[in-house]
Amino acid sequence: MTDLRTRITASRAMGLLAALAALVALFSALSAVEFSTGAVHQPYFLTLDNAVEVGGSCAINLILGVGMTLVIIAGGIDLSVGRLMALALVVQVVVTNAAGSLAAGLAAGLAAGMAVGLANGLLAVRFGIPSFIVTLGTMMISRGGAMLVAGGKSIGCAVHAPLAVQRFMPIAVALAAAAVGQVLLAKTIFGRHVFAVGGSLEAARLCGIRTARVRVLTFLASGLCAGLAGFIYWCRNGLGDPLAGDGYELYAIAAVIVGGTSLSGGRGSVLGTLLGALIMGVLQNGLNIMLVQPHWQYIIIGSVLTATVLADRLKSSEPPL
Amino acid sequence: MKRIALTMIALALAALAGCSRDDSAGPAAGRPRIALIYKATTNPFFQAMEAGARAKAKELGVDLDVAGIESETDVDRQADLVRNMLSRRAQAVIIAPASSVGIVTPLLRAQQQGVPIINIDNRIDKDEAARLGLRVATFIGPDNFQGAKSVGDYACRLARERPDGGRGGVLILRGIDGVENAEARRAGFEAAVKEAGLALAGSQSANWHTEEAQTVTAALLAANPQASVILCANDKMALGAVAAVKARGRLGQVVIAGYDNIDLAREAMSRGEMHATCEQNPARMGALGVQCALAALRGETLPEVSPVPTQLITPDDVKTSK
Repeated sequence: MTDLRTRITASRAMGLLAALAALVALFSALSAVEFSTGAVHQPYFLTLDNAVEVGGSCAINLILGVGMTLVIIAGGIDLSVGRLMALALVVQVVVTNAAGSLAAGLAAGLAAGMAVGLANGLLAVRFGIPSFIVTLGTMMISRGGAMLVAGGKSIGCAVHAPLAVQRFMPIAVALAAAAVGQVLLAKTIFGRHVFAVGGSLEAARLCGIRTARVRVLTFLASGLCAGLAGFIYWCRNGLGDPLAGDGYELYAIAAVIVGGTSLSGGRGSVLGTLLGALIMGVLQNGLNIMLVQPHWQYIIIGSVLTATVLADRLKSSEPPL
Repeated sequence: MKRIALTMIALALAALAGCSRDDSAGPAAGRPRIALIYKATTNPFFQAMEAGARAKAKELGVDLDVAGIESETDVDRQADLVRNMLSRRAQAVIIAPASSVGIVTPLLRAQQQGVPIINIDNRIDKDEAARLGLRVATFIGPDNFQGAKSVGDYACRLARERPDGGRGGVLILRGIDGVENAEARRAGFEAAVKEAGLALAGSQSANWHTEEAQTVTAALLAANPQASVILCANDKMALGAVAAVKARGRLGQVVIAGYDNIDLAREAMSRGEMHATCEQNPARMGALGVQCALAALRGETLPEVSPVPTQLITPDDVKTSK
């Protein structure tokens, strides 16, 4: 079973890499065309600057996606992460301003993320409420909570991230989160349990796996990731915006699904999510930089998401549901 | 499959390496490149601003890159757009910020690359900008004082031509006290009333709200039942004033003026319930944005604020345009 799982993931990863390379090639070509017609002074897509830009702009999506991957593989879903990120963010900024210490703020922000994540897990697992409903509720609670903590408006932060931190911290943290998530899933007993629980809850329970604990831990991890994402939002934008994160949970789910993780659980990888987030990030960056209207951007990104899943379905030998 | 993928990645990486950071910045050939980054792309106000900027850019031979976010408030995405436009080598940035505080950090990147920043519509928070060392070339906003003055002048003149000669006095409904545009409009109204030689019978804030304006007006009318003019700092409050005047059965006998030229106010004017409002001219704001960006690129020093003249709208304008 493990073999089959990794084989699927490996071929998937190759497909995603090819898609990513194709996108990079496409946007490079388009920017080169624009350059050759004299519309711009230099080709602008394939530059180190812009590569750093893409990395920075996918960072939040990737971090949320890492937590989401764990939750989804274990058979759940976490809709709260976008708004939870905003809650953790404003907690971080308020505490940083009050205590005059970024470390204290960061700790408080991460704690807020983990607290809500833990609550998600306990409510969904201990009381058997579908995680979709639980996290829909905590999404709204987090949104209101963020407004309450921030006093209903964006708050500036007493500590200011230097430019290098703004640019490189998001990438470093996102890659670290992905690495930890990948190792956790692929190399540890906990990871094996996550797959087992998502594959068949009953079978996992009969094998003696403490399924409740495993599932709660995935939600806790997702909450922690939301807290980390809040930190990255601060790095990039330098303020506590209680309205941040609108719809980010859906982007995270999209990255996870494009990355080949099965929404029905039991199958997937963080590596796939990394590639999924990169594809979405490159797409978004390329469309922005080519001045494509936001309306078209939604249509194009949505089409890519749907097409990926469709391609999967056509390749798969399983009968459609 | 695997080999194709690996080849493509290798090619992409090679290209990336070969195309290292281009530090020979500066415009290659003549045409300057300016970016306009705004918010609420579906709002007619900003669409008019974009159209004005595009027309001016065409006229002046500027390459204008326009990018916007659909929402009013998505700071993170707008910050991305700032960085994306810098990647496109914008030499000046015109920005209508989604957050007056949150846009400061992303704009510092532009400043560090020597890109002048023109602020338009929603003013960047002065304290945050000062704290982080952001310099804004100029702020382009509507001239609220002049706009309110012209609305007030017109309304007072209309009242003086009426049978009561405006002797019932003027009531003013203010916006949120302390807010920049509310204070400027109040000053404009007061100047107009003074110049017309009418009496200021009452002045109170209704915080921009229609319902609050209705109660406030009712109270003011109770104290001054013969009031001739009501000047409101926005159209929404003017609609509340209309309702209060209607309740007293004096509709048509009181000159009511608003500000913003919203559709509901135009309808009220076509019914004869309101008599004047003010158009803020977003298209001219966009055009002035491009002009200021060009001037900043030439190294000219711009005033801290570049006010945009507004336009008086009367029932005649409503009839001819629709």
